[in-house]
Amino acid sequence: MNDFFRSKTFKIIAVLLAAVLAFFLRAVYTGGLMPALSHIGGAVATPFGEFFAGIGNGIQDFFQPIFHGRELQKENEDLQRLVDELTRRQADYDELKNQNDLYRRFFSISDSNADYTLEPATVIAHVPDDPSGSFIINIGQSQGITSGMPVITENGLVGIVGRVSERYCRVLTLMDPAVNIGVLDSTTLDTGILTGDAAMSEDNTARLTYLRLQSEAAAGDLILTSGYGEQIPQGLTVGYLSEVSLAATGLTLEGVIDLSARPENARQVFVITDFTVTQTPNEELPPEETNP
Amino acid sequence: MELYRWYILKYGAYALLAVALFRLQSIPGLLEIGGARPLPVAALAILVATMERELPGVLFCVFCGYLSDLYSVAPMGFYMLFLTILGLAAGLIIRNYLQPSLPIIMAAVLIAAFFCRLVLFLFRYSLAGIAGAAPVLLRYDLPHAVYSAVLAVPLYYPVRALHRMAEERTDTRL
Repeated sequence: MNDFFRSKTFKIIAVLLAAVLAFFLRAVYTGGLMPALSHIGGAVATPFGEFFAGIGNGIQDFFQPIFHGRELQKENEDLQRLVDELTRRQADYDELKNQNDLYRRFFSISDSNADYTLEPATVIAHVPDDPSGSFIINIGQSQGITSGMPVITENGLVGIVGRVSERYCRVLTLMDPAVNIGVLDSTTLDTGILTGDAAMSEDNTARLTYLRLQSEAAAGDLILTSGYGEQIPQGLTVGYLSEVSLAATGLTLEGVIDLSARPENARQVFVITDFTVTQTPNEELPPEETNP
Repeated sequence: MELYRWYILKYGAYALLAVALFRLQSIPGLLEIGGARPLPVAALAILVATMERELPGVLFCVFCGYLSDLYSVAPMGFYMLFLTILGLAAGLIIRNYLQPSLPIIMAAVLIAAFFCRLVLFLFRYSLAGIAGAAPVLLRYDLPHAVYSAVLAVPLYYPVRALHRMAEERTDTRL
């Protein structure tokens, strides 16, 4: 082996290793942006990725009822319970909404509507070495995607854009430890921070921290994005609170959020590239017509 | 000329296998068992590095590392660097002191895959000050490494066959 370390081959390998190390350090230094070499790989791999993702989805659809029958049955029972609970809430909601509309018109309170600019994307690959389930989508810098943009599915917020390449980007799920998002309990209007925890990713849950001690947040409350930080719009569905407890510091409450969007089921997603909040004034009604 | 033809054929076949494995490992849910996803490209890199000479082995590890980095959670270049170092070390140790048999190569893949996961774990959790992440190491990273090592079994036979075929045809070690 000593001969090898004195050989010309070893010197070539040493130079190669130094080049790879320099490349790696540069990639770490540039952070969210990927080096040019990844653009080349992405340009080749992304079109094939869409094709292979389709095959993978087909295989998954075929085997899921066979291997995950019990899980599906349990999920079905849980969903039935949720439907019953939501039906009961819907009745309360309709009554409150009517009452709210009346008050809004009476006091001339305007509605705020968020306009989203959405960029549709296909999930082309799942990251094989990430326990928090991040995935790759087929749009990147060339479609105006930048790091930190929110990614949604039909069930709500699924993650934020991480590393961006020319033709693809990686989506960090809400279970990623690098993700911290301002959230809001829709029932109590208490704010907190959603923090990813890879150890909780098996259950598709995330941690809710910095909830004020006096908060009356309880299991079953709907959690939405709070909109603080200006990168993620307010009101995106995050999930439901499944438990609340006193934080280890004893100064705040913390909880567990059962996330609505499941990254492993995501096939088509939307990236919110831009959003604006507009105020729509309500039609003012004469007080005598809306006397409560 | 005959020598170069077999040289190109052998490494071309390795490269095609690596690209096919790269696609397979990133298809959602395809190779996933109990939440563990393997890294068969890394297993192939170590396998080739232990069977071939140092320089081609290292170059192949750089290629496999590049493929692994494309859709990885690690910064670009992480697998390029670590697979190259681990592949070179595994190749030197196994060829000089051991025999490149299946159990030894499986052990090398297990160690290499777990080492990569351990380094990532240190940077992503321990050094980042994230508490309570230890279960990830046992519940995800260890099964990931074991699964990658198991996948070395179906890869071992085609790689060995290619290696032997090229050696016999050229009557020299490529």
